[in-house]
Amino acid sequence: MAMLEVNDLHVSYGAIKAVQGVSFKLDKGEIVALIGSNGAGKSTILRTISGLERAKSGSILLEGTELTKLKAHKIVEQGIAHVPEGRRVFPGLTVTENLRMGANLIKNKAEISAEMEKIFDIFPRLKEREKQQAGTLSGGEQQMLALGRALMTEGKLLMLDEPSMGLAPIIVEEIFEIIKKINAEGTSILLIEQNAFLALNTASHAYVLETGKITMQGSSQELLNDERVKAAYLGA
Amino acid sequence: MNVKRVIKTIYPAAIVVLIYVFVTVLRSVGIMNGYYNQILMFAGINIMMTASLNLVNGFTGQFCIGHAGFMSLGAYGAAVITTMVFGNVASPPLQILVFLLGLIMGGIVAMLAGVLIGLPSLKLKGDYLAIVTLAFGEIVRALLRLVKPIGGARGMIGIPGYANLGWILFFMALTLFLFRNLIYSPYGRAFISIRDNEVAADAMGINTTRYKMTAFCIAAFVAGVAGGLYAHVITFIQPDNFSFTKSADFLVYLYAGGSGSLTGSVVGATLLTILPEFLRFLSDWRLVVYAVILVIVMLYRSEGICGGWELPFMKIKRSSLYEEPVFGGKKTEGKGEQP
Repeated sequence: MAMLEVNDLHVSYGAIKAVQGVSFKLDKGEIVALIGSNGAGKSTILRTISGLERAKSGSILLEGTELTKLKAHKIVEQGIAHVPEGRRVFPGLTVTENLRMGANLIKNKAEISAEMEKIFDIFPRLKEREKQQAGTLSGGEQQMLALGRALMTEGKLLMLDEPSMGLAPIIVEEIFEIIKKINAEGTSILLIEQNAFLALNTASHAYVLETGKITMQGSSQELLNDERVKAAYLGA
Repeated sequence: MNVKRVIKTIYPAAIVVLIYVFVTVLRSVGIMNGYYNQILMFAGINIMMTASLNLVNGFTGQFCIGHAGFMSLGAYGAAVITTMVFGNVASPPLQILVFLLGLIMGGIVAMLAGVLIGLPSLKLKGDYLAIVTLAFGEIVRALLRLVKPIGGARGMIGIPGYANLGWILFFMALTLFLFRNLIYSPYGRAFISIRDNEVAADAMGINTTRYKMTAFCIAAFVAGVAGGLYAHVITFIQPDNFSFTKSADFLVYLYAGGSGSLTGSVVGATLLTILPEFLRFLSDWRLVVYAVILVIVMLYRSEGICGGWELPFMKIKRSSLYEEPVFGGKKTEGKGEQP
């Protein structure tokens, strides 16, 4: 059984049909990328999976559990960790407190501290800044914090919305190294990226989204070599 | 370490007691008359109102603009108990009991109203709460005018003057103490996360509706108690005492003092309660000068007088909340410098 299975998903904002019949699946331990230009509906799909938007029709199954009828905080309990677009950290809370917010579902204090140590191992930079307010961090550090916070939920599936947005290339590289490392340790990842080259080099499988519909799909290698993808997204 | 903590807990209380003793001495010597005393009582009530509004607007990031509505419900709720239900209690100790019962009743009435209007509007995101609370304040006023047994538009007279400066300072200090502890608890963290970023809070598994509701109900309860105190200071209430102007006053206290800062609520409410009285010698020009002072504050300190700043005893060092559990044994000694 696939880890995540999205079937014929439709989402609308009023009269605007943002997602029109999208289906895809993600197997356990895999990185799957959704690529496409602005307004293709990528973020909407992620937001619908994590319950921030309501689906008009279609189904979203996480290991067989239907998610479309659940509320956002219940979906987190099912094991989905969402890093929303644009590094949404809590600027008024400290780094530690931000991470602590991710551990809402864990009640055991020792477990929380172990989890936090793990995050600080992955992101030593956050450890250095643990008592600083998140609003004072640099863009890259905020992205790391958003990632770390999502990891604190101990989800089975991590959903990343444009992790490279607005970051310097060297930081992007660092972040993607970490994403691969997180995946190697067993977390499945659903990745959204405008930078198609980066996404295809990270993911094993990818779907190309255009105006709310999936127009192409395949292994990353296939898509990297596809003439149409090259022309439209890789600028070759 | 422990002694330090005890001192830290006691000295805010000591300040309040000192204020009380100071004022009592001044009154008995005759330097201060009943008029000054009443201004101080209003300042205390306004601090409670502003702090409770701060919990909703400043810390949880919602926008409530009908706070006087809760105050009026609390005032009427308390007054009904002390004047109509137990109006003929004569012995002073029993009167205190009736008074406290009235205040709690006032708080509960206000809180129930908070649940009633919070349930439909807090599920929505954005400015709906502002519109709903604005309407709520006016509806409460209109309804109270229609209820004949509690005086209708004429108001309710003959409320016993149970409240004095001591009681008000006590409730004010209690409110601030509880709010401080609340804000630096996991609840407070959830409130702030909703203010900072509701989407991210949602995505982190926080039941945002529940926490918004909690903040809103606590604020309504405190506003109700403050209303009860108010009724027992002026001993005469009428629906029009709690118009939108009153709500706007609290908003002004909050934002001039600094939203998101309890110290700011205290400073804002105190200064702006005393200032108009202080300016009375200007007669007609009083409100103009008051407004100009407000404009100047907003121009030069748009975050409010105490925005982003708390007195040391009004905050709990954030790091101390995690250190022991989080870093099991490895204590990093007090380097927390967060506001």
